[in-house]
Amino acid sequence: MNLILIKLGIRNVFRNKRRTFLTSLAIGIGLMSLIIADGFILGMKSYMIRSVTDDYLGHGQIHHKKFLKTNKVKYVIENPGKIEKRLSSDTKLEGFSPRAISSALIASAQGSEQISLVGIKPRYESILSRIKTFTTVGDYLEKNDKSYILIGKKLANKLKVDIGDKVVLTLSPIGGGDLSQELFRIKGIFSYGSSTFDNHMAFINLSRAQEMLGCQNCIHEFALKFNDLSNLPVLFEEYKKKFPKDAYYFETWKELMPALNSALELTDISMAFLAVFLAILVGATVINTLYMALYERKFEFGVLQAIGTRKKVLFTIIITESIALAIGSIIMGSILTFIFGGMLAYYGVDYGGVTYASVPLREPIYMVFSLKQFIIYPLGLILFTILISFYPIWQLLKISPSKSLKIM
Amino acid sequence: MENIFECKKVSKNFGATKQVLVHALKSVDLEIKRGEFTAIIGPSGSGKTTLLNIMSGLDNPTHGKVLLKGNDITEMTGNQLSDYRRDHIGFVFQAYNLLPVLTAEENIEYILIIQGIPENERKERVHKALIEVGLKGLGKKFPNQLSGGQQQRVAVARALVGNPDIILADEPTANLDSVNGQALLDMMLKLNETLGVTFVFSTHDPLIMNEAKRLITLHDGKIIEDKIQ
Repeated sequence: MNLILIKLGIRNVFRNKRRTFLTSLAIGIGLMSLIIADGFILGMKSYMIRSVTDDYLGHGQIHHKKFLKTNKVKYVIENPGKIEKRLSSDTKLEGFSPRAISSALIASAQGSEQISLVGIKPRYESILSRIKTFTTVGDYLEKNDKSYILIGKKLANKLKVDIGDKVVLTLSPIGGGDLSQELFRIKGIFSYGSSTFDNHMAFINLSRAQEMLGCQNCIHEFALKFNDLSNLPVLFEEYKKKFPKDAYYFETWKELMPALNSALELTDISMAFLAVFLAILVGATVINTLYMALYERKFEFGVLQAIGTRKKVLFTIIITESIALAIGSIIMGSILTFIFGGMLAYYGVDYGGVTYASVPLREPIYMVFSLKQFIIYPLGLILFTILISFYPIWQLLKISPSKSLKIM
Repeated sequence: MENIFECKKVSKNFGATKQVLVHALKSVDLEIKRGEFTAIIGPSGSGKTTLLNIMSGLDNPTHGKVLLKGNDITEMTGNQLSDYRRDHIGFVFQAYNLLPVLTAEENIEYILIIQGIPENERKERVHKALIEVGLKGLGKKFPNQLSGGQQQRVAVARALVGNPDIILADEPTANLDSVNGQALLDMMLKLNETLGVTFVFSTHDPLIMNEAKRLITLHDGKIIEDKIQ
C-alpha cells in the first residue's frame, strides 16, 4: 500500500483531535479495565492456589485408592517405607509429609468435639505446610513430643483450653476392638483463618498416632510439594503414571479441591463475560465515531471516487483510519494500565480475611502483569475494531458518487 | 478535429413511480471535440450537473449511450468506470475539491499514485503542474493555508496532471470573487490555448459564458441552443 494512503488514513484520524482523543480515551479505558481485571484475577488465582497448596494440601497427595471416598482408617498405603524412600530421593520435590489420619473425639473438662486427628513428622510437615507458621500461641511440635498436641484457635475456645492444659483423645484403632484413649497436653494453638482447620483439626506426633491406631508405620497420606511450579502439569502426569489407580494413587490439588477448581474456572467465565461486555461498549464507541467521521465527509469520498479512486482503495484508506484509532487507543489504554494497574500491583487490595471458595484471603491481592495482556488484548482490539468498521464503511460505499456529491 | 465525447439520445429520469418521476435529461445529443472550451448554461434544475455526472460516469443514463473516444461507458462495471475517470477525466468542483489532510503537492500527486506512475516521474509532473497553474513554491501548504483561488488552482493542477482527455468543471468560480474568478478563468484559457486541454464547464458565471468558445444552453433537460462564439 502506498505511503500516501497510509498518511491519509492516519492524518484523517487527527482531523478532529478532540473527538479522536475522547474516543481513544473511552476505548483505552475499556482496554485498561480488561487488563486490570485479568491481572487481578490472575493475582487472586495465584494467591488462592498458593494459599491452598502451601497452607496444608501440597501440590498433590498419594492415598490408598479407597481412603478418600470412605475415610476409613483401614485403607492405609501399602509399603509406605518404600514410597517414602522413593520420595526422599526425588529431586523434583521440595518436600513431602507422611500423615496418619483418623476421626477422633477430643475432650476437655468443659466440653468435647469431633475432630480430624493428623499424625505428622514435625520437621517434614514444617517444610510442606504452614502449620508451624500459623502456630501463633505456644510452640510447634518437636520430634520427641509424644504427649503434646496442636489444636486450632476456635477449637481451643470451644473446649475452653489454653497452652499447657490437658485434653483426652479417643479414637477407634484400625483392627477394631477397644477404643484407644490417651491424654495430651496442649503445646501450641494455630490460627489458619479457616473454619475447617481452626474448628476441626488437631496434630500430634506421627508415631504416637500410629500407636493409638494400633498399626506400626501405617500412613494414610503423603502430601507432596514440587520445586518447579511452572512445570506442574508435566510433573502431575509423571506422578500419575508412577502411582497408578489400581492400588494407591496420586491426585493433584485440583482433584482434591474440586470446589476451588470450579470457583477458579468460574472466574475465567466471568472474565469472558467482562470481555464481551467491554467489546460491546468498545464496538458502540467505534461505530458511533466512525459514522460521524465518515458521514460528515461524504462529499470528500464522492470527490475521491469522482477522480477515479476504486472502492477497494477507499476501503483501505478508511480501514487505516480505524487501525490508527485502535493503535491510539492501545497507547492510551497502556498508559492508564501502567498507572492504575501499577498501583494495584504495588498496594494490592486487602479483603480483610474474607473467605472465598473456602480459602481465606488473609493477605492483599496484587494485580499480576503478564505479556499476554499487552499482546493478546491489544491485538484483539485491533482486529475487533477492523471487523466492527466493516458495517459503516460498507454503508458509505453503497452510496453512489453522484449522491455523495449532492451534499454540496 | 476528433470527437472525444458523444452523448447519443441520453435521457435521465429520477424517481420510482410516475407520480414522482423527474425527467432531468430528455434525449440529449451532444458531441465534444478535442480542444474545446465549452460552457453548458441554463437555469437551476435544467440538468447541467446531471449531464456532467453522466458524461463522467458518476451516474448512468436511463436511456441512451455515452461514448468516450468511441468506447461506450454505459456498459462499464464500477471498477472500469473508476479507471475510466482516473485516466480520461479531470474534475474541478465548486468547492471542497481537495483533501484537507494532504498538502497541495500530495493532493496533485494522488492522481498519479492511483494511476500507478513511478515516484520520480510523479515528483517531476507534480512540480510541472504547480508551475503551470502559477503555484510554484506553494506545494507544501495545506488547503487551509491557501486562498480560495489558490485551492481552485490546485484542483485544476490535479485535474490536469493525469493527462486527461477532458476536464469537467462544475461551477468552478462560484465561490470566488470576480478577481480570483477571472484569474482562474485566464489560467484555464491559457491551458486550453497552449496545451490544447479540453474544458467543459457547467456554469452560471457570465465571465465563463463570455470567454467560452461554445455555449450550450439547457432548459428542462433539453439542449435548446448550441452556438459557437
